[in-house]
Amino acid sequence: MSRAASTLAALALLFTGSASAQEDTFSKDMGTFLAEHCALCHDDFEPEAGLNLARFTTREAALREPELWFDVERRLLAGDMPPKTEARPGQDEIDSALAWISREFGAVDADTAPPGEVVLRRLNAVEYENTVRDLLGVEFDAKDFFPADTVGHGFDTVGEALSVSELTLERYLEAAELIAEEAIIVERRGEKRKRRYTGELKTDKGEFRSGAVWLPWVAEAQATHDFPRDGEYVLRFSGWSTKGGDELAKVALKLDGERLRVFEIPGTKEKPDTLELKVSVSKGKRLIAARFINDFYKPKLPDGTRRDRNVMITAIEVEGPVDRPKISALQRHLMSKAVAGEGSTRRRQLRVLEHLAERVWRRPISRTELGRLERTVPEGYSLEEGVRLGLTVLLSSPNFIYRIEFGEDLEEVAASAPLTDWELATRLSYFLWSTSPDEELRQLAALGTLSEPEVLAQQTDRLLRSPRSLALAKNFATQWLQIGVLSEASPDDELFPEFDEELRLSMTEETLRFFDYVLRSELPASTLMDANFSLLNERLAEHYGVEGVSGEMMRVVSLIETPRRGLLGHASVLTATSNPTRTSPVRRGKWVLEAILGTPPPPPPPGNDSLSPDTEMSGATLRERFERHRDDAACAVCHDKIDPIGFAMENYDAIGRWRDESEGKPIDASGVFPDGQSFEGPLEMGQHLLDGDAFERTLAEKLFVYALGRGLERTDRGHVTKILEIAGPTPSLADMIRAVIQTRAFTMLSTDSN
Amino acid sequence: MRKPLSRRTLLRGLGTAMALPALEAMSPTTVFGATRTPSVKAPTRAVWIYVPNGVHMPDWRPTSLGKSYELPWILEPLAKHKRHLSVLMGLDQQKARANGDGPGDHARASAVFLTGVQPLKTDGAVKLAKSADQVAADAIGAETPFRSLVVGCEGARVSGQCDSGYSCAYSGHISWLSEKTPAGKERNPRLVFERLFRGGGKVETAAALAVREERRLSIIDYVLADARRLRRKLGKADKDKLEEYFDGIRELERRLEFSQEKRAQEVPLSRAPEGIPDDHAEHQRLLYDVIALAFETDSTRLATFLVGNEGSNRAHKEVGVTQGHHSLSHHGKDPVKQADIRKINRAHVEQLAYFLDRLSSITEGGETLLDSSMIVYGSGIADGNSHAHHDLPILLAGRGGGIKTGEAVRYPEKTPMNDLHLAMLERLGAPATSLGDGRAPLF
Repeated sequence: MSRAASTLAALALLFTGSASAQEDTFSKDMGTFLAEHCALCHDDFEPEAGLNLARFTTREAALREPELWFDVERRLLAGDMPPKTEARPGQDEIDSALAWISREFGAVDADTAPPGEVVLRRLNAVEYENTVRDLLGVEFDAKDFFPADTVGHGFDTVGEALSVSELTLERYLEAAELIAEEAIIVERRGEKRKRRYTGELKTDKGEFRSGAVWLPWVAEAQATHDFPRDGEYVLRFSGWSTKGGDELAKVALKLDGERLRVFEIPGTKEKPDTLELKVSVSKGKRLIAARFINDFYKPKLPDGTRRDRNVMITAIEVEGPVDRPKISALQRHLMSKAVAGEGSTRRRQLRVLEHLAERVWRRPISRTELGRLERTVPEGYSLEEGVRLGLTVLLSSPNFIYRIEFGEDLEEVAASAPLTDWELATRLSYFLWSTSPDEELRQLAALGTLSEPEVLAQQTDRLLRSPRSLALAKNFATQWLQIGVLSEASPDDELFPEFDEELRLSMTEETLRFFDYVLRSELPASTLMDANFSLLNERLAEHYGVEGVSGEMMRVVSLIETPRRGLLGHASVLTATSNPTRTSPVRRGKWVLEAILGTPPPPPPPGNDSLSPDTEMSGATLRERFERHRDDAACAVCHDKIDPIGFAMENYDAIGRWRDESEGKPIDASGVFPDGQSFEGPLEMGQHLLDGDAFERTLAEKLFVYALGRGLERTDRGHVTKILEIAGPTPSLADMIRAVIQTRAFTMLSTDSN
Repeated sequence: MRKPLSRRTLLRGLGTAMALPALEAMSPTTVFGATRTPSVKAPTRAVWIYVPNGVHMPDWRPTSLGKSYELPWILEPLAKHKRHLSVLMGLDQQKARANGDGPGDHARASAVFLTGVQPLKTDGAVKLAKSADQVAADAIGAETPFRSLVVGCEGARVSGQCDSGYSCAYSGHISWLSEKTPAGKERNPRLVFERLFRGGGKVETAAALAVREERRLSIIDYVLADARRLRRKLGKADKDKLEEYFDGIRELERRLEFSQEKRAQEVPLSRAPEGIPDDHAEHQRLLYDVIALAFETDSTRLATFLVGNEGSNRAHKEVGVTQGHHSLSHHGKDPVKQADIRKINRAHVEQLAYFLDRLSSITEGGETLLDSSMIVYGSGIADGNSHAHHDLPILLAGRGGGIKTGEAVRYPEKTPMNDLHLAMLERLGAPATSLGDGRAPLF
């Protein structure tokens, strides 16, 4: 139970009088309703959907599970329950049941609803990567390095779900070291790094002999070296040869398979050679090889000293980098007078660290914190060494890893507080850019003006206009639309030989670019559902049967002549919701209910989650088999909603191509919604999905969860309604995003009442 | 070919009073063999391996009990190890059933496997329990540099939805540090290797490593102070969250102090696996290799391996199956689909056989690692179509802790699987009085 809800419940108790009177109203408004309209199916023994409503016979029992009433309220408001196969309760009965919920748990009103508590959010892998790149200019592959982030409420920005284990933490520390080492170059005088490979040599076809590699025929000795940065290195190898034929043994020095130079090996076992070459190598693990290339073996040759030419490689060595490191512009700036100032090394170190802390921690560092940092850096460290170590500490701190929010210090005790300007800057930039605040946001935060409504609106616009807001398409839209699974989709090779990596990537790209285009062009959010255009490249245009598009670039293409409108016609969505060998009308229908209409169906009851074999084997079409299974009332409750939508999309095959028939029979894509509205085909069905404000409301809810990093609570309905109000009728996608930022939930937080 | 370990590794082992790691790799002849004193006993190890979506039971369950049982088709690849392999029947995970929580059998199956506790149905803040391997780690984890090793082939689900309103944390983890925190799972064999043996992938001298570790300790001091300050100011929910940070830091601190005492393990880089291969079977083998190597070097004595996330819909093309595993598991008794499921089940068992081969090829003091290990392999779902959580498919291999294996056993109905964990905990030297719905050690 959220603290807010418990407080409200306690308040309700104070104001509504005696316990027995409350018990009476429970019994009158809700108890009877449950008994008459719900508890027959949601019973004690085998409750439908696992939901037992029969147990709420007293108010006390009901108040123990506040979250549950949120759901009951939703279902009642949506008219989902009781199902239409059962007797409908009268509107007055529904109203008094809803009124009971409002009385007990508080009316849902955006102006009084608590902003809500956001559980401490850890940076997810994407945010970590972006932050480190934008602040320090270091490209770091966090997705591969950290354990995978857990998704909560559909998004990877949810604090509750983003956990930290010992492994994560170890990687954080290690990442901090790696990043600081790359960001701040420390020049070491007189010390050159040398690495000699002897016992660790590998070979392709040679033989190991007393710790060295013997090459009696064409073969090579190898070593893998991790080159710490782009730069100049000296590669060496040592070896000797036995003589044969007329020429000396030749060895090619190779790097990642590329021949750098060929050396002659005159040396003998007693007097081996060491040969070297200075080359410029780019950062990373590379394979160095010394390859014997001119084997000679004539055992019958009269001259016994010239019969067999072989090579022994005893070591491969890498020295370097031997050039001066390239100091980044950032480092030069940090160490300049502008930042580091003048004075002792220590003073300059601290100024640089103070400067960095404000960026890395997204707030100014306190005197005490800086003092402790000073004590962490040992005496005698150079400016660069100290800054590097300090940066490592800053990046390892919970102040960097977590987005910490305390809100403004208030003089009086209050249930909620506005965010500080620094916290607001952080929420704003992670929402729109998935990265930390930039210079301008930091300046406004330091001035304390960001929270002024006009300034906040201006900055929102600036961030939305920046190319960086593509992050919304990449991180929000892909999760909202659940098309991340596309990377795992594996359409059957034989049935869909056309499906390859290029097509897969093009599909994702279409949806990303499309979302981004609608956002940037200030088009109505509903365009996402009914656009008669999309962003295509040649490959995808071909896939859709559209002519005249050439090249890999995605560009706006009219789809007026085609039977595709909006997201429902995107191959990404259609493929992500299909099975490897065929379409899945159920998965498509479920997808629409979840992502578009915001009414996720409960999962099927255990044991009932597939068509039984006899219905499946009977040779009927998929649609006929499903219709039969809807005769079962237990299935019909949900499938009456799921199936018409899913079957309306049957004209798109399992990789999203248009088709007129399936299993040799023409496709029947007509259908009827549970409310009696009928439609012909996918386009009409899609139009009906825009009836009312279900789509906008769902989009607002999803944006809210993503932006705030927490699941929706009952009281958030007020905030969501507010978003729709602020955004106005037929809101643009951009306006909806702006509206999220204007809610109290976004700019404030509930304070801990403890 | 196995390469010799360095001399430093050996000296390190001798320098401590702890059970000796497998050191025979040092030389072709047994290092300790005849002269090994009886008091120096190989440590007991345990691995729990989980495969998703249940198995095709008719080809898993032996038809007769006792030592002379015949291996069913899926288990045939294990013929060589039959003497050290028991098929345990009749074990249940009752808490994986709905018990009023409605659908979500996949998420529950993996969540419950090592806990025996019903997971809280939530898509946000999870609540489960410390898993058996972590209970063991609390008791014996301090004896090795790493308290436990947690690996798996699959990362997080890339879609928001995992199973029927259950957080993806449940289907993606069997190992849990606490009721709120799953243990971080590694999938890249290369990164696991580097973490275990290289302090994180860097090639550096012992002196440089010592400096780095010293520095890490001072970093830890600083950030711990940061975290303490935050803890004083944060609200309850945030404090709970921050607790994860504390736990992680403390474990890291312990490891650094540990390795300062004993110096870090040194295993030649030439034994390091590459990253994640495309081939699923190869991926499993590499992760099994790294578990075996961790045992061999006594880097840890506990491991869990989640072969696939529960509910995984991977198309096992490596064995010619193009349909997704999860879709297939809802076979509706279709024999074609069942045939594909069997194939997947057997392919997984083949990799288990590879692991047992590895363990039995590594000897320490006249015993193999298989002799000192307890290996549990199975699923929290019996048949994927009905989502049954009773009479689970469970194998117990090895002879670690003196367990007797090599037979088909049927336990009375409703025997909690946690009784098996309790028995293992006892033999690991980590006896627990209670664990989820466990009652008493199974044997």
